[in-house]
Amino acid sequence: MKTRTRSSSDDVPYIRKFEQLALEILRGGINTKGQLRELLVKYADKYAERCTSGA
Amino acid sequence: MLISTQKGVHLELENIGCLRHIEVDLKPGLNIIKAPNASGKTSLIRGLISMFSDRIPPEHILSFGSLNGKISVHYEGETFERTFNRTLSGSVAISGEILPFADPRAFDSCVAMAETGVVHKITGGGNAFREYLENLSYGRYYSEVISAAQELVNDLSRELAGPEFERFEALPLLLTELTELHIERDLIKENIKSLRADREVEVQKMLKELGNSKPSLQREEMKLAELERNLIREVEKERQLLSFLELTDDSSKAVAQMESAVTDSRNNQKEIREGIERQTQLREDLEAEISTLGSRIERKKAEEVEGLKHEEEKLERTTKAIVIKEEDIEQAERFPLDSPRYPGLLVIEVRREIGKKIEWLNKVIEYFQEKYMRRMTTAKLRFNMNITRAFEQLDLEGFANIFLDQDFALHLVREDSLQQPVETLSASERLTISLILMLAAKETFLPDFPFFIIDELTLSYDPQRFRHIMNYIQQHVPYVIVTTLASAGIRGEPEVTFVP
Repeated sequence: MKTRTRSSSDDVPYIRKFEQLALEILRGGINTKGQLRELLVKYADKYAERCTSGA
Repeated sequence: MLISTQKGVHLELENIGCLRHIEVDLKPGLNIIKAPNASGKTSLIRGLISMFSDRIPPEHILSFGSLNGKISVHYEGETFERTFNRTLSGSVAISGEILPFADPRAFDSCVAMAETGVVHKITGGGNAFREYLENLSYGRYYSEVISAAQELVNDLSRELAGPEFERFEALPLLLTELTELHIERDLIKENIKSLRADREVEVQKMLKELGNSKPSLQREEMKLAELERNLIREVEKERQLLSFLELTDDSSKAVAQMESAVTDSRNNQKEIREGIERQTQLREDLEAEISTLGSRIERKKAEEVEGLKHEEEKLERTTKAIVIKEEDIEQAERFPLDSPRYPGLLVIEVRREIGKKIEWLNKVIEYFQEKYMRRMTTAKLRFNMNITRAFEQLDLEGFANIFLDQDFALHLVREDSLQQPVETLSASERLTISLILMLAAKETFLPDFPFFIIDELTLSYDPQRFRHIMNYIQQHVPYVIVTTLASAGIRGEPEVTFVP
């Protein structure tokens, strides 16, 4: 019987969506640094909010 | 112009670089584009590249004097066309369809042009090859995310350690200091009150003493006045007796009595004058005593005022310190003053929130590092395999192997087993190593890409080495396109010769 391999992404909330958007930005190749930072800030905020509301 | 009629890739260019119009057929195998300098070899190559990559700016492709240009490629029964139109601003817009196998990585792994410095990019030493591998494996995407996340973590960590939070952390201390200042101010006020009360008591006591002395003086003054009145009476009595004595002539008895009375009166006057003298002295003593007491009161008042002034100055300083401390606290709080919550608690919450952001970012870094390493390690293994095969097949004299170590750094092993840094090789050796590495990269990342282009790089090769390297590349790529300077007799547009 096959079992699903646990991925490290399972432990990181929002990571799949973030990865998808980050790669889109990087493939776009314009102002990637600024856009990446904005995306990181957005998801870090979401994570902190989630932790606060769940606390 | 010499155009082959064999089937393969048909390329047509219009207003591209210095070429007005040219049609070229490329056949499977080695296609050598020969022409003198400045006749359009590189324009032709740039045109072909623009059909599978956007790395060359369209302004570098369209002829400088032209408003529009066109490139079409007939490949495996289909025609793909891209057009270039110069806008009013002078930039060039590009539209149309690129080749179906186009891949942005093809420019780095299948195009060797002198103008892109590809040899240096690959064999430049240091991190040059790692960066090359990162670009091809898309590990760069992951390293850029890691770098951006790390930068954000650093910024947030600096924020936590920064002056804003220092003030937050100082808040409990500031509040304690403010409380201490309030206590100190209360004590000073108590001291001032006590000093004022003590002075009042002492002054009252001295005033009472002074008050007691004044009636005594009054009494003594009354006694003195009484004595002075008695003296006046005795003097009058003496004067009357002396008048009577003048009027009495023959009554010796009466004369004797009056003379005796005058003598008594004079004695009385003498006693009274002595009494006046004593009383005057007493009054003067009392006045001196009152004056001394008055001076003592004034001195006392002056002493107390001085002590009070010192305390009042302390009070002023403490009040100012309280105002400054309250301003510090207000700045440190940075929260609405009507907030029902204790500011320290908010500080903890803000810190916790930042801590959570850092926590997420660190997880992202870990996740992307894992992905980066997975991509790079897979690429490295395939790369090493392809390079080893290339060295076995090429049998390059003097070199045994090239491999990537665990840090993706390039190591060149000579036949004598010594390692030589790639950047120390001669120009032709570096070119050979670069071409082998590019081909290995192509086989690793773009195994089905049909072109391998070398533009004006093989001039340093002797014919034997040129054939040796080209034969190897031909075995792995359907279309090898190489530009070279024209041999004597060839003039005009680039000429393509096919070497089967």
